[in-house]
Amino acid sequence: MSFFEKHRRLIIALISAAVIVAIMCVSLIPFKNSFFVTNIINTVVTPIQSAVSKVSDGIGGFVNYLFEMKDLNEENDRLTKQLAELNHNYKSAQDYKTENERLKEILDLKENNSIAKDAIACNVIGWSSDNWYSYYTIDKGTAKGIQNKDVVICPSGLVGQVCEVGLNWAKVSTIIESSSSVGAKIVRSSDVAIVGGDYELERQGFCKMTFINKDAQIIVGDTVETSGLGESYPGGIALGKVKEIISDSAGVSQYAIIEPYADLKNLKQVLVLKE
Amino acid sequence: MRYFKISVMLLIAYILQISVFSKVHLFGVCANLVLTILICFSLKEENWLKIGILSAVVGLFCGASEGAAMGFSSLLLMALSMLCSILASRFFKGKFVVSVLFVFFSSLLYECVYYVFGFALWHSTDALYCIVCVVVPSALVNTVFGAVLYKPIDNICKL
Repeated sequence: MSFFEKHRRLIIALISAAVIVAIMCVSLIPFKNSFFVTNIINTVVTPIQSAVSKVSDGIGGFVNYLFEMKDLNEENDRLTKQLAELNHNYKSAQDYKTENERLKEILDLKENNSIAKDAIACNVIGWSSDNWYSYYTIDKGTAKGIQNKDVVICPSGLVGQVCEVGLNWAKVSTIIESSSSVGAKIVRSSDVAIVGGDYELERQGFCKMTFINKDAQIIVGDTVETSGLGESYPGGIALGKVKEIISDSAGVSQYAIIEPYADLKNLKQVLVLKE
Repeated sequence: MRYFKISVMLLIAYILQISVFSKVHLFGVCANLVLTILICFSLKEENWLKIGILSAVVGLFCGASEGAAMGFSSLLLMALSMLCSILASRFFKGKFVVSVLFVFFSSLLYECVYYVFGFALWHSTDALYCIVCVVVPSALVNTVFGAVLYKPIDNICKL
């Protein structure tokens, strides 16, 4: 019996392992968009993932409806009262809006944010399937003009950046992801810092603001937006608010915990800003 | 026939994994259905090469939706399922409790290796926190799923 016949299964297993290691090595090469094997798999899987995601959202909504049935009547009464109050507020808001529009015209300001002009609306169809990374899969890719490093926002603020893109899918790395780093600015004091991810905070849905100037007058509740420094993110996008300020034991340095404005746990739609 | 059935089961598990279970967190972690099914199946399967190759292929799919390098999960699943298959066929077979324990320890090993080589090398983290809050809970969640899925997989293997 030859060596190959004797150890046939072991040899096949080793060859398979070698092929996978080769794939792994090639996938580590930084590609312009994504590794072609990943692209093929995700291009095929994305439509199915999208459909299953919609169905599960529907089922989830129905189950929630059943569970919340008891509270609905109470809520209905409360909302009726609230509606009357809101109608009153709406009238006041309309007055303010009219005044605001008039003032804007006078100052010749553009009402729409220029950076969101060419944004592409996408649906979130998946989330990272491991316990270590925080990213979304969205349902549009290079076919719709999305590119690597495109900035992703939602109406309430910054979501993250496209980290991998395929034909009809893209992966969005969120701002709370451990490896993320965003040039940030405190709106009230104009102090600049870096907002990045931290694994422990990531799991609670927060991120960390570091490299804060020791003279910075930062307080809890301060609004933080992108500074535009570093060229990865345009300036002026709302990022979050300061939740907590923590100084080290020596009192030399401090960092702040930032609560993102974007509801990263329940995102359904996002906007991808064209570079 | 059983390989066809288990492949279909794995495909459904994979789709659920990337679209539903990745969002539904139990005890702060998402369950790894694919790993659980593969381990349960490999404990019943004597041909370690076949289960190894099946795991490698499934792992490649998983790698496309995970943060670590493509192929990392594939290699890990392949090694784990082959190990489980060899150990199960030599030392025990068909014992429910031992199988569930295997799912627990395999998940523990999988998450530990994934953490060390797929994550910690590139990110600074608190190892104790990761082990206590992610690795152990995910192994426990997978074990519960393993206990639930054991019987259906057992039925497929009897075909």
